[in-house]
Amino acid sequence: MSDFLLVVVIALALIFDFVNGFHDAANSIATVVATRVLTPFKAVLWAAFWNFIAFAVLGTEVAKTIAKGVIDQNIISIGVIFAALVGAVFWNLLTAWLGLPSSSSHALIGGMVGAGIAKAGGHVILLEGLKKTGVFIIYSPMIGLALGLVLIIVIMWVFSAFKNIKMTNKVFRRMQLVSAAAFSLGHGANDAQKTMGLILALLIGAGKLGPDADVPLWVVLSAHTAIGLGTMFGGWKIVKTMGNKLTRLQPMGGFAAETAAAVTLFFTSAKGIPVSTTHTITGAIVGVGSAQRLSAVRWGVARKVVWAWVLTIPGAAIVSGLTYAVVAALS
Amino acid sequence: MKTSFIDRRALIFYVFGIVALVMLIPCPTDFHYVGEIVATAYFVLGTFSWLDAIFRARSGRRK
Repeated sequence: MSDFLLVVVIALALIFDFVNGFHDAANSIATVVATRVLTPFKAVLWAAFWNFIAFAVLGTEVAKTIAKGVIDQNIISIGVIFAALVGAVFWNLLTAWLGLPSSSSHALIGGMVGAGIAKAGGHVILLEGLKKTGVFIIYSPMIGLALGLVLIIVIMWVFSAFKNIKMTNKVFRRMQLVSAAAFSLGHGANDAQKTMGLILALLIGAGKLGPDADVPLWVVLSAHTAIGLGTMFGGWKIVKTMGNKLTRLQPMGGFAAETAAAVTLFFTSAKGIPVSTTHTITGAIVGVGSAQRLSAVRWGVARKVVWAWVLTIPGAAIVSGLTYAVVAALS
Repeated sequence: MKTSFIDRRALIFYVFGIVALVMLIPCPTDFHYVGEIVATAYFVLGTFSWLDAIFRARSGRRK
């Protein structure tokens, strides 16, 4: 019976990864679509490919942080992971429906925290891991913004010598394919690893793996497949918000924003920090927009995004906590 | 013409710099260098942005 439940919860984790792809991976292609470099269909195929390939490029440090660094491993059970997933999926679907670009990553962490507290109380929270994640909720968009701004200024300086704007845009339209691929790679690395971490925690909690175990290859491959497929189905409502409503971008700006976000994601993935791709690309887009003039940034939309960030961890934690209470009462 | 002591963009960057410094308090020591770099970057960006606004205002007055 417990093996059957284990399989069901792993399937649910992969569905979460699919929804993550649907919800978050659309950010990878927002600027490419906004600048009309690729059609939406070609863009999602491009992003899905690089999302999948990410497993071969970057390690599994983020997965280890999720599995071993958020809540005490000893209290992790099938019920806890199930409740965490329900909280995160519910929150993701709610924000997708509302068109809010919130973070799947923080929804997942909020879900784990809520379920953990519901099972055993506040002492199960591992403060170091949670602080690392919490601090980078703020730092990751700030790094993206600063890098995006610096990059666009450097590009504008370098290319100001070339008076042919049409030609410059043509060059950057092509270069955006590279920056979108880099961002999708970073996204695949950071986001797919969160599901891997969840499955790893589940397998350790169920006694299928030892406490020091690494992420099995089948978990790595299935997580990347799920996020790649999710990307292919895309979250168009969010693409529209990110690509058009926040600030209008030219190919040069799109390139700068994606490159800045990709660098941030490579760094955080290498350091095992689960960050939101949504936060990062949003910061980078705002950075690029603010290089022209501050009024180029649509602050009303940016504020809506900030509210989604603030509410995600507590919102997902409450839903998962309630779910765990129901699961515990039924079992 | 309405003028202000500091450019709005510069002010926002200075606020971000302060936020980055404040976040050093909960930040794990392994990642303090990230916060320090981010804070420094925003103070530099804020200063450049302020200078840029001053030069723009002066060149605007000359015209």
